[in-house]
Amino acid sequence: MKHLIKNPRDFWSGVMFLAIGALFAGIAFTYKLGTAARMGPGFFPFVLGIILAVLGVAILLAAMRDRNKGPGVEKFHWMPVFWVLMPIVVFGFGLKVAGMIVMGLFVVIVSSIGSEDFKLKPTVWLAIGLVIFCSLSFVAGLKLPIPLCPGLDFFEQFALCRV
Amino acid sequence: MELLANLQLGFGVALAGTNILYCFIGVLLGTLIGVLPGIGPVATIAMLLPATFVLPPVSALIMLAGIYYGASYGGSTTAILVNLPGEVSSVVTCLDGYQMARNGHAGKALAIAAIGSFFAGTVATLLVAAFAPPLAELALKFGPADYFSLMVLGLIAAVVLAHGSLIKAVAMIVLGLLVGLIGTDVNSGVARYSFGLPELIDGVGIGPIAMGIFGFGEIIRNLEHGQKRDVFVKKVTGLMPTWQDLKVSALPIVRGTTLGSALGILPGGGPILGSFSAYTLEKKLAKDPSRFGKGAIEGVAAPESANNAAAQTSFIPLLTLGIPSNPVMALMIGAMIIHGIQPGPQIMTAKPDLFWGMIASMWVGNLLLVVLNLPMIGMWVKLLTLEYRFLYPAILIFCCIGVYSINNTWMDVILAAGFGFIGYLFGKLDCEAAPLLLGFVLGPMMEENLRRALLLSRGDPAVFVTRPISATLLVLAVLLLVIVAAPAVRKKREETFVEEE
Amino acid sequence: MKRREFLVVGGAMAASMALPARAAYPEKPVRMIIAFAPGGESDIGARQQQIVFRRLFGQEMVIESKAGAGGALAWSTLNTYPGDGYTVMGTNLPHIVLQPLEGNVQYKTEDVTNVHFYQYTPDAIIVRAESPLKTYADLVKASKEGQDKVTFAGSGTNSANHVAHTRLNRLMGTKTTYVPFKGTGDLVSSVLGGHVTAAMSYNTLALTQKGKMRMLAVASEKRLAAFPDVPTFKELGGDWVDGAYRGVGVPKSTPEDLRKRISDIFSEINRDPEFRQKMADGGFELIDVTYDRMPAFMAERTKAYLEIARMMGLAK
Repeated sequence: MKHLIKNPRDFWSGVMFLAIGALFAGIAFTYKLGTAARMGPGFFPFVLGIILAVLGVAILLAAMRDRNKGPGVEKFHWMPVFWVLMPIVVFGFGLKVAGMIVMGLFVVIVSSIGSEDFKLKPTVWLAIGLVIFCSLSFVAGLKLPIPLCPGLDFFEQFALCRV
Repeated sequence: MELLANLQLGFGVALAGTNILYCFIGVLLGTLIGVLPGIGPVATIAMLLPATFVLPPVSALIMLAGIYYGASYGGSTTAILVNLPGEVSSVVTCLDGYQMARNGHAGKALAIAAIGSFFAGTVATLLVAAFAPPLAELALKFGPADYFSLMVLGLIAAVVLAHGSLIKAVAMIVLGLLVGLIGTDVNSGVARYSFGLPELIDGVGIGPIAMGIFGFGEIIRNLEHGQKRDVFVKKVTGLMPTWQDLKVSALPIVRGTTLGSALGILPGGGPILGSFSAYTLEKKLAKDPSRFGKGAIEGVAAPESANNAAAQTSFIPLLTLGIPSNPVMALMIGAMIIHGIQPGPQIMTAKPDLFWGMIASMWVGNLLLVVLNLPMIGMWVKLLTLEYRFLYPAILIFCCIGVYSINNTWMDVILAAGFGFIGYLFGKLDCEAAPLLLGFVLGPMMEENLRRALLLSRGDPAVFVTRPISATLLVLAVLLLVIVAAPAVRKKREETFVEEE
Repeated sequence: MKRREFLVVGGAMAASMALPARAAYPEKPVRMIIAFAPGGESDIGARQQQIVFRRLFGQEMVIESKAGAGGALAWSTLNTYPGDGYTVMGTNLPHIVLQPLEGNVQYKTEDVTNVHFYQYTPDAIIVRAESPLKTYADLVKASKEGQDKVTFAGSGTNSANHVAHTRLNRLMGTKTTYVPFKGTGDLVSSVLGGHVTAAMSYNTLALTQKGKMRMLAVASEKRLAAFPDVPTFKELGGDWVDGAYRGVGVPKSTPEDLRKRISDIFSEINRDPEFRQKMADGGFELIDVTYDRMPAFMAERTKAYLEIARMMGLAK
């Protein structure tokens, strides 16, 4: 199988397009399709899904031809993916509960671990500085409705938390 | 000569001591906020609206308009510096602007964006002043069928954005169209692909997608190589564009301005189509199109001019017809009503000082932007010499807050993270993201207008060719398709030829 | 989840025991969540109230926009807020009756505790100035001849405009076509450009487009002050007084006396002369459905909407 794939990058993108196209078309089938003249909600996505799947197949087949030879897919680096995206996800789920101060420190410090030359001390100072800046400019200045403190009654008594 | 008298009235209002001050405050606030990723003009204007209650209506609207220009200008700054498009129309600026920054030409890119924007703003302001009512009438001639054909033309133009494989670019557009369909279908009220999540009923926002694919994806790519990239950009050369740069950019700026002004008048998608098509045009006209996507200065000059021109002319439907062509304009209408001004066609005759004052302030605002931003370029570029290990956590926290504040929902933050992964994956597979974004923006409008056109014609598809505007646009689309496809076909032939030898 | 419910109930009890403090409500800023985007009519209405609220009660009313899913995103979270009176939410009719019928949303009509309805914008039929249709009779005639060729632009599917269009078809005895748009702002250019016959919208559209558009009939009780020449549907022989109602709701856990107090506050804002003038200029018709009259009002409205929804195939 492997020697048949002359252009792995194209081959795998073809596979990706085929899969996504088939998925969208499949789900579209559960909506009313209607006719070309009186389209239902499923018509447009169904047609587009099929087109994407067909394009995927074409890309995939072309990648198996000699004259389309191309470089292999570069290695996936899971560490930076993890250190960059995990804190964002935690921020998303945790903001309402833990507040911006805690989550902001978390995002800055944890995402910094993804860097080669991570050093704790300067990172902590950076995190504190950024959180203060964000609190002042977004919450105090622009009055964006972002909770600063954790959502517990205890924090309600601080004026700072009632913005 | 009525125009001169009107402009005189307008400048009298716009230059009056306090008004110019409010214009300056607006532009300054807008720029500063626009530079922060994710906090767009809509959020800013909505937040600052109560603060304008105490001002006289004209000053308030001038300030709000200033925030709008400032924020869209600030959005381009982040696009160039850190590959974060502040709004959809600056996605195109990312393509070459960010590459220029990587090559050490961030200063030049920022300066040419400012100069191009100012030129475009000046021309577009004159257009608004001289021809607003007839131009608005023209825009009304566009019916649903014509919009659909315009979208088709725009999508074909998007193919040119990619510099790699043609067929992959087409697939990315289709993928973008599909992602755009997530959410409630306007025609039937059915929620599609929302998997029962109330946050997805309105679909996926452009913010999480652009921030994820472009911003987060790029950060992961920068971190992966285990590189010692202590300083993000090694050397920074030439803060200001050279005479040669200006000469190269002059015509692209003019062409971008023309395209942007024309497309900005159309409600819905004007600035986006403007900047995308300006880029496409330059790439097609260039002697060496392969430079595009690798830091071509024309690739910044043209779309930035188009973007700004369209931002000005999108005031035409608002001022003459009371039609909000984008969410910012909808907010401006709200601001007018709160200030006791009834927006709509009668505003020009009922409140000439407000009407002409706002038009004159557009030009003043653009001038202030240049004056404000040219000296700031040095500062922005210095930001790039920060150690990357300090820069990227800062970008991340701003993005998190920014993306959350678009709709005040956690879902957008999670989506942005998801699209960050997808963006990284796209990079590995050599799939370019810009066509996907255009497909995403145009997809829902395309389907909506297609189905609306067919509803109005009672199912007869002939409307697309019997309506003159629609027919013309479709012919243009076919022509463009031929131009786009021809080189690819030729290249393939040559390759086959070489092989056989 | 259990624990959370317990906390909410506990909190409500604690709040109701602290009666003496109640007289001073509001003691701190009140958060008003609006279920629509800034710049929309619900937002504009609230921002006008905001100014009066500050003047009359000396506290800030902070407007927070939580737009999405035609308002459903905000309404489905209403009961998750504390019932201390400091978080209230704008509510809209017929949305909160129709959306649960349609089935896409995660709340029921009963989940929204309305305490006051303060304004409405009546349904109206609007054509562009160049239209050959001068009166409602012209429209009926054209609709009988053209049937589905006659098209009405409206905002949204299964929405207030959609309901109004169904009702109009019944009144005229016709089968005209409803063409949904994303919002009222989106449909303006189609009406002005003559791509549709008319708009099924509100009086506010005719007001912003004065000179460019003409209103043929309006679903208000009496003729509108700004349009003394436009007949009401009542005059034209239909039993039709309806439109988009805007009011305020509170979380279920809010105690009775607070609900009444909030209702009184909005009544008082409605009585402010300056406010009345501004709202009239904007085309908002003020009403005063107080908390004690709420059950009867909701029952009457719900019955009317259900009847139309049945015709649309939305409900059985």
